Amino acid sequence: MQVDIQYASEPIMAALLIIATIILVIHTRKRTRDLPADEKKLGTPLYLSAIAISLLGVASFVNYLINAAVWVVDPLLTYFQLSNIAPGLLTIAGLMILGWNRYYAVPIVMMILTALVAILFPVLGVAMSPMVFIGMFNLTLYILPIGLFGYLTIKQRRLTSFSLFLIVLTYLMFPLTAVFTDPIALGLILLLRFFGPGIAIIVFLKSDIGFTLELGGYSAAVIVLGFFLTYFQDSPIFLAMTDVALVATVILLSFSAALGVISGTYTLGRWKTSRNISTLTLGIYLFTAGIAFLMVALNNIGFFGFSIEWEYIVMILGVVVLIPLNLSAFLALDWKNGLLIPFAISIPPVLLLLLNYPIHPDDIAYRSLIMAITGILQNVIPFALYITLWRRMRKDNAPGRSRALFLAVGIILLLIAAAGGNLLTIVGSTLIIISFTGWLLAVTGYADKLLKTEAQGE
Amino acid sequence: MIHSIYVVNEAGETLTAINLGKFKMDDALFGGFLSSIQMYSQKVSGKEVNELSLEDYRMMISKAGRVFLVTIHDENDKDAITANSRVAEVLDGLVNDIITDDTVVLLKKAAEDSAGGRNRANDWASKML
Repeated sequence: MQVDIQYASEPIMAALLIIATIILVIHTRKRTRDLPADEKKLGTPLYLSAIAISLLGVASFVNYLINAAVWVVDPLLTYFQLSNIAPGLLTIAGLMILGWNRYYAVPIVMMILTALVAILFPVLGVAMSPMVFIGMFNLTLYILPIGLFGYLTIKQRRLTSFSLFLIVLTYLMFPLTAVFTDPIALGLILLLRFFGPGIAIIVFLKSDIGFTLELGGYSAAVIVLGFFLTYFQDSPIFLAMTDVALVATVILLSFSAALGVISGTYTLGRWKTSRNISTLTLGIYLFTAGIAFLMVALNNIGFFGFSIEWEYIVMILGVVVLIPLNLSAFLALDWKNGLLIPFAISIPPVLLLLLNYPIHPDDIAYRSLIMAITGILQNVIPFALYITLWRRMRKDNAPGRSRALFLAVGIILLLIAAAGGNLLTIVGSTLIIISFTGWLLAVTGYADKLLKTEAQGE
Repeated sequence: MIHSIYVVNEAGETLTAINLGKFKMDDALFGGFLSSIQMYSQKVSGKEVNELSLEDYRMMISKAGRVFLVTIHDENDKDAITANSRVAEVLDGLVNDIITDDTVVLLKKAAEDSAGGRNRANDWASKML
């Protein structure tokens, strides 16, 4: 089922908006919990905004179904109605925030009028399309929330108000996709649309985050994943749908890539305060591993045109990316004498590939054997080192030891996934996503919370 | 917006202190502090002080009957004078310097109503976002 690319972005937009809604509700609950009883009502505008954002998500999904010709009952009217209630609720929320209670009737009347226009125009046989009125009301209702969240962003300099401003503003960019049909311009608009919910998810989840590279890393992971999944729907693998397992594999790899970038960003953020070199190398590994798996996924859908150069780049990246992981394991144990080992074991396969360029990697003699030996060593060494670290910490009953355990388990799962010689299988990609999830749990400290090994007071 | 309301009698006793925002000060000390400033001002110029600046805050002082009403605002709050007058209206009919729970509720409501939309929005954002 071929869907235009802008419509292919709508289910992703819907998913991002629904996730943003859930996170906004959690944020509101946390904030209101700390307020005195007579101020708890301050949460109502945010709850209303959350409902509005979820309705925008539903509207996006309906928009996708309409283009895919799945939704047939008054399709466009349903979409416009849904996307009209959302700004109506946002306007009511804005009026609540401003304390202009006596004007609630205005958005309510406008929403009722919209519904009446939608129902009565066809019945009365009015020649004009109801969409003109509905669209006009729709845009009018957006004025207050955009203005208010924009004003609060300038005045308060908070990313949370900026993200609400962005959600509303970027959502309205959809009609631009009909105007700018150039693939690059279209891609840029879709990327910008993902920015709104993408940033909201991050800043409401981690409200202490500033306008830093860390924010850039997290939002890039979410936005690039959304972008990848949009264009994946237009790839030959997805359109043919002959190999469902391969489709699932590519999707799992792209999610693993996002988890890798998120874990890497988090770890690098921690390094900024700890300045621990082991944390730095682990952060670099997770970040680059995320990017590497994204490139594997992109290569697999033919994004790079299946060229020999990209085969080489992806293959070399697969070897080099494991160097910082090995370094982090040596550094975690303070075994500085072994720091050259990760480089030494990576040289043979890289050298072999470079010397044989431009022969197809599959035709290079002993390539599989050399790569397998290096691959096994690159995984077994950090696994053994992290297990050693975990055992030592367990012996001392040291807090935070589950980080080392989860890192080790993740590494061994990656080794098992690669054992078949091909990561692009459903089993392999499932193991990879479990690995990356384990690593995320490890670096964020959730592994210790799960196994109750965190430091007291954490 | 109003951060706090203090009602202080002429003897320097704080009759009520209502905190609505960030500004916080020892209630008993505040009464003494205000009373001494007013006494000193009376001695020096024969007039009472009706406005003070304290770090980032602006204190508006007015007389409502026999009590002083002090409202604390941001230093750049342009509506401070109007807001203080609106809250002072609540205390106009005050009898025997007694502040009841109902008066406190009315004072709070008057403070909330006196804040402009922008102030209310900023206050909301600082608590919820």
